[in-house]
Amino acid sequence: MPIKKTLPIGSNNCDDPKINYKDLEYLGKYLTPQGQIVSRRRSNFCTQCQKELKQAIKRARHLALLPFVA
Amino acid sequence: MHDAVPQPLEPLTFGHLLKGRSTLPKAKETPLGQIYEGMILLDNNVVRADWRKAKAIVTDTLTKYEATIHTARRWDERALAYPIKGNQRATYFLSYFELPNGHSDELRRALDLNASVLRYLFLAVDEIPEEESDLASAEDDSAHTVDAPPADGPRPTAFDEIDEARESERQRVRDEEDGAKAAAAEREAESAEKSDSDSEPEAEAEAEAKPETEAKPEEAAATTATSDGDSPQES
Repeated sequence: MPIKKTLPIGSNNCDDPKINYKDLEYLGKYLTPQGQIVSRRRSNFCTQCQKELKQAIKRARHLALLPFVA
Repeated sequence: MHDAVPQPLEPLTFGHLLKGRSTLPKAKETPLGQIYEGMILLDNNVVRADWRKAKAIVTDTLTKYEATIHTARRWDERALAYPIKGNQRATYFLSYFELPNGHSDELRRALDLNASVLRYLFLAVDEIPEEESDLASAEDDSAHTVDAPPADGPRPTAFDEIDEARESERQRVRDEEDGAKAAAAEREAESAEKSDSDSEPEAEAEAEAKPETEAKPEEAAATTATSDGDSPQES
């Protein structure tokens, strides 16, 4: 059975401005409706940017800017 | 065999575990220490009483541990994604400061013990953003006022949502009934007006018709008399 591939969020996201934990609108794009961080396949980030994204989302969660579970 | 001198063991290091692992870049250190970006969550009850005092709580704590504050301002006041120490809302205080090396732990301990600080995050940064100084100086003006944060209401639960839905349904039914009653009342009023307008010409017509009806009995009597006389068939 073929796996249904989800479309990436944007293209070549590494050219985006620097990822910041205060930019909630930007971070919210990379969360699922349940509040999980999307995978690299979905976010279309390189390894380093995905790590920065993960770190930023975790910082925002610590400050209760983003939920752990939605 | 005995010539082999036992060599001391190498100290345990975990560098080999981190060998293939890329780490995030570290911020540069300055001669004075390190520049930090501090985001601090303040209790809204303290902020509501006086913003200047709430700000002073943090800045005094920073200066106590020999921090050089570059900028300090209110970042935002917002609802929290999850309650912290029973608070649904909090004020976010953003500050850029330079802290000497080795003072970070003491500062963290002091903030942990402060009841008006709900949570904090310190990040080592390379430089202070350009727009920060303008925003902070705008807040330092005496004319600048900070709005009092709204009341910290109870967090809505699933039961509250159900109650709210039921109440809205009841309100909708009530509105519909009121609308139907109002429409019925309007219709009645219209029909009453119509009946009044119809009854007036009838009354006039009756008033006009009365003399005719008064004259009619005589005519009727005459007709009956004639009919009585000229009715041989009936007898």
